Amino acid sequence: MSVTATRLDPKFKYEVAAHPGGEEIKVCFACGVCTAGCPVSEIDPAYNPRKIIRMVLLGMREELLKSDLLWLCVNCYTCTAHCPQNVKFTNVIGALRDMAVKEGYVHPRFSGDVDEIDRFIQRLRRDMVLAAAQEKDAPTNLDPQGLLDQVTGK
Amino acid sequence: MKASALVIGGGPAGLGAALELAGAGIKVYLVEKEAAVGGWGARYVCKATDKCRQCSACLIPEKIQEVYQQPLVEILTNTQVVGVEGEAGSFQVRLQREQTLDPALCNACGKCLEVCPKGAIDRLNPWAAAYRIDKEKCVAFAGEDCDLCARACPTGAINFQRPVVNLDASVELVVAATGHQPFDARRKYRLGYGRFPRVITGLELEEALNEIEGTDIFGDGRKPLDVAFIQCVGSRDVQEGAAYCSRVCCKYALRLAGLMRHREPETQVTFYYMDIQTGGKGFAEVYQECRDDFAFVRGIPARVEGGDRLKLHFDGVSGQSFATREHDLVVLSVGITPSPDNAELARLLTLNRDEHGFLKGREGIYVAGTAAGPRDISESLAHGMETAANAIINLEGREG
Repeated sequence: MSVTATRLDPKFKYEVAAHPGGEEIKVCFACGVCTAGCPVSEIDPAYNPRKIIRMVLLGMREELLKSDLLWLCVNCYTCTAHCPQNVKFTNVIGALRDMAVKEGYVHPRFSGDVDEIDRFIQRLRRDMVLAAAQEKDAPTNLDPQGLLDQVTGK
Repeated sequence: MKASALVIGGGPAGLGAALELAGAGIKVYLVEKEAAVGGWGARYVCKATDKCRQCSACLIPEKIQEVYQQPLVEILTNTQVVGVEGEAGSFQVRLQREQTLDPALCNACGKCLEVCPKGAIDRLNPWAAAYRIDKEKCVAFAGEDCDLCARACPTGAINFQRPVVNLDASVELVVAATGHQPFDARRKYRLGYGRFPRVITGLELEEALNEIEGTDIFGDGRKPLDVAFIQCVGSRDVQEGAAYCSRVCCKYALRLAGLMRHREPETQVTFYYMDIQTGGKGFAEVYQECRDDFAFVRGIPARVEGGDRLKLHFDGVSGQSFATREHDLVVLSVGITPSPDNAELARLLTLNRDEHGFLKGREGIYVAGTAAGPRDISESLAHGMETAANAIINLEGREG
């Protein structure tokens, strides 16, 4: 990712700060504890909350609002719990998603689709955990794919 | 000048204030609630490598010696202030001294240590001339019938029948140099302190390195050769009510790391930080010198996982992003927090506290050292002296 000064929007951070959820964006001092605890970053290092905050502060409006990365957050609020500055990054992501929809970077329906995927994943997780729990007294080597096939009836 | 002063607290700020006041001819009651003067700093290790690193730990024994040699300073250990009345220029103070172990009679022979079933007798710091009874561990203080140490003592220094004594004094001014509390690392559950034995605080590393020559700090033959320091633990943390920099952690951590590497050159050190604060004279140079010796990761870890090795989860930036790394020792650089005694002190001395909980002085009652806010040893000492000097000027002004 490169940063081109002429393409930066210096007003972007104020717009995010004015949006519900984005109020605390400017107090971040980039300690990185948000990314360090993020379960999405753990499986996909391209998703980096600290970097997303920097992109807002630098004014990388277009690059950020059109990015698919915005939609990877699972709303677990771990970053918010850890943040020493109370930035409430989960709410910042919410604000950015709203702006992406409002400014036409994504179709409004997509936002609802992501919510539906989250609910689907939660049901799947519940089913897989309960299936694994059948053997919790004598756990065998975990085979997530096998479990998935089992609960989806494949 | 014919006047008296009460100095509360025997750490560097209190020692500095007491010496400055006595130097001006003022009689000083130096009150220390613990069994020995010196404060937290008296437990710290000299961090010299092949040269002095200017950590100022050596200032403490120097000032303890000076204060004991100053006839105008009356040192009252195991003593608490229980009442302060009056106004600037004329305070009546009441002190309460607990004297189960009389330090004037104790010759530190160690016979009490041998018989204590609870290990409740120790030396508060390496410079303490007398032993002390740790009231949290001693069963006699918990109401049980035990006087083994008193019976073993050949000088009669220990006597559980000796009553608490009240002392009254009239003083013209008060200096509260009551110190701070290191941040309680247990509050950061996710960093593993209190759960994994090889996660320790900087303060514990200070004490451990003070007791041994090398780096085998656990005494199990497993010298830590891959050490992680996590900075800003309990500092610059709005969620912990500490929205300030403690000003000492970067300095002590870098110097401790340098000392470990000096003692054991194979030691690898990684600093996890948000930014290094190099305030203070000479420290920027120390930092420059060790930039090449240690690895610096600009990211505070979110989690430490236990096991034979300790696994840190962090954001490595510079192309690395989310990453994990294992270390065999994790040192949490805990910050300075207001003393839990501050609420009671504020009530007793009719003082206000600032937004963080540190004490603010008023006319005739001065606040020095870390009681007023984060400071290192030399800054606390200087602040104690400066505060006392201001108090003397105000007193002279009043007396015209």
